[in-house]
Amino acid sequence: MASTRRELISLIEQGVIPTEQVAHAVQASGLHPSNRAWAVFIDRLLLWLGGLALAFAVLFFVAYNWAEMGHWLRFGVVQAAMVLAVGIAIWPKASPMVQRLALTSATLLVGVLLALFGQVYQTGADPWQLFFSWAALTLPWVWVARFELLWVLWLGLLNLTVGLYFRTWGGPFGVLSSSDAALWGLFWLNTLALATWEWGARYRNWARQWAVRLLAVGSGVPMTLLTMTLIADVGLVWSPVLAVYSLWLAVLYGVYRYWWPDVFMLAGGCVSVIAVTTLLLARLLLWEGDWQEGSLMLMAIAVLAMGTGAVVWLKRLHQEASQ
Amino acid sequence: MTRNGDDFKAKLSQANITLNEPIKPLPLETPWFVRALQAFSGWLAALFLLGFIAMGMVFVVESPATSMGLGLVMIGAAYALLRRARSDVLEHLALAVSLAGQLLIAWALVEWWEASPYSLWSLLGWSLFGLQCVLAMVMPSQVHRVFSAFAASLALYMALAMSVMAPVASGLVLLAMTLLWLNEFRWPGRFKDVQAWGYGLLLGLLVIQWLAHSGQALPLLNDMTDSAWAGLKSWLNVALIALALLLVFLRVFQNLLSFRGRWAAYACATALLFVSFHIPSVGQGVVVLLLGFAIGHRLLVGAGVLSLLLGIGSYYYWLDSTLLMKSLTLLVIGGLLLLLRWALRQWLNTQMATQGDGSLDRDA
Repeated sequence: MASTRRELISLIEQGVIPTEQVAHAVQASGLHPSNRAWAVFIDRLLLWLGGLALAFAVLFFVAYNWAEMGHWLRFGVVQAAMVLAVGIAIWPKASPMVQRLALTSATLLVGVLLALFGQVYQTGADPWQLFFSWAALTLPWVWVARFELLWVLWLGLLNLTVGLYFRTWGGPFGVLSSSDAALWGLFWLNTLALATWEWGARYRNWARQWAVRLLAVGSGVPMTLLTMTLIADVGLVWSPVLAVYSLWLAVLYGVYRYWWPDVFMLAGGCVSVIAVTTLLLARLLLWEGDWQEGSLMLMAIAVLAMGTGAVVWLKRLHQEASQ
Repeated sequence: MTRNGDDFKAKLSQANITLNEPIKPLPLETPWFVRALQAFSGWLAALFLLGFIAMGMVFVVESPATSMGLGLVMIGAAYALLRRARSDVLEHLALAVSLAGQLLIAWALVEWWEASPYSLWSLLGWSLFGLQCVLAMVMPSQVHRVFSAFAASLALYMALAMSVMAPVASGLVLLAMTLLWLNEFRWPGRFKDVQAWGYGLLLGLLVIQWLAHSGQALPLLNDMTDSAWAGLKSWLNVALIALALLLVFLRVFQNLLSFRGRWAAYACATALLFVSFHIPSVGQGVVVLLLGFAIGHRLLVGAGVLSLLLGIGSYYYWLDSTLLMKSLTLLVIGGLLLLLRWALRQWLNTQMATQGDGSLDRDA
């Protein structure tokens, strides 16, 4: 799909396809899906929409907290739905797509069951415990499903666990540093997941598409925020944050420039550097300076220079990668 | 040209398309994330530039006419720069100058409309919508066109939200976006422009949906006034989704599907519109998904999935119905969709078997 579109566009741009024949070329190129492709697409769309609608129906039902309905009946509804989903997943005649949908639904239903447990017995458990239990209980299914989307959902649960844990208990230095601690937690979690996924993609043929990019964003955003917090609070002083940030940038550059070239990752690094440097300049020129119009002009020029430099460099890398 | 490229050329030649020798060197397409970085730094630089003007030339911001004049001059300068720009540096500079100029114009408009007896935000929304539409048409830069189309969709949302007609804004943006993407190659000389507008509207559509989902329809909009059309907003939204869906169907049906298949598709569409009325914003997600698949655009398909997820999330917080009713609605819809799938599989597998085309399970 994507490569046909790319080829077609490049031929139109080069003037290879005469203007009056572009419409015909679009038809002949195979860009538009065939009857069969439509049939498969609609089949999958109906399957996923239908399956997820049923799983969400159970979720909404539990959230309604119907007082007239007995506890056992409510547990029965959720557990029956979960058993049904797992039963479909292990049914030998189910196609791999149906099995994946069933396991995804079952994973969602475990969370619903845990929420219902907390709702009925008023356990007083912290929210992070719910998400942690959810992630721990569903790991075996996620493992056997070998499904990218489900892994990302599972990692999302772990992210929530880490964020909520530090919001509740704070970091090693108390509740005041809970925000920083949560950012550290998210950074290490997503960086570890990213490294594992990249290793798997390299040596175990794991799918390496949007999920890796999402994890890289999950790793880069907390690190950048930590560095920006440091600069906003105390300025550019020696700190473990600065050391880790520098190391993170160096590893990002080394890995995605030479080991596994990926312009998206490097672009993310550029955005991070621009954001951090702009904040540092703002601190030096504006907060510690005296808000002169010349400083603002200087900032504008600096941002323009950094942005342009990054775009020129990234375009060059993209050109190298394309060749 | 790669091997894939040679195969592709051979395919076109077989379809009796005369292929010329390249008259231009192959331009390397800039990835979307590099364009996003360009827009981000341009926007950031524009803010500092505006700060410089506000501090260095206070008389400019104190007078709406001067603000407006300088804003127009800056946009004109940006236009001239973009016309001549052969380097990233100039394009970047022009983008920042133009954005700062637009902010100055917006500032002048706020000053002017404040004295008006009509709603400030509605007037501002319509004015900015007009400005951004013009800029999207004339500015000779793809990044600028994407940004202007995006800003135009948000301005339209702001204008309509003031009359409690926010859902109509997303319907209109969806319809405009569908028209653009379905006709992306109609004008071969300007297909890049059409794509840029399409991307801008797509981004706008997702942001509007997110604003509706978060329930914070722009914090500034706290003086909404009910209009005579407000009661029809849900119907109008469904009508606009139906129109967008019909356009997608007409394109798909040009060379595909039998008579029975078309009627099956129309039946599914009717069911979808019924769902859209009860679950707002799910319909638009499905239209974006179908549109993306119909024109072979993976990014649109991904955006459709995202829109659908946002739609289901919004449904949870929708206050017009209890969670029990929502649960029952989802149960019925889920059951019907799976039943529909089963029926379609029976029918399609029979068709494919008679045509010797295998079964759907081959691709599952």
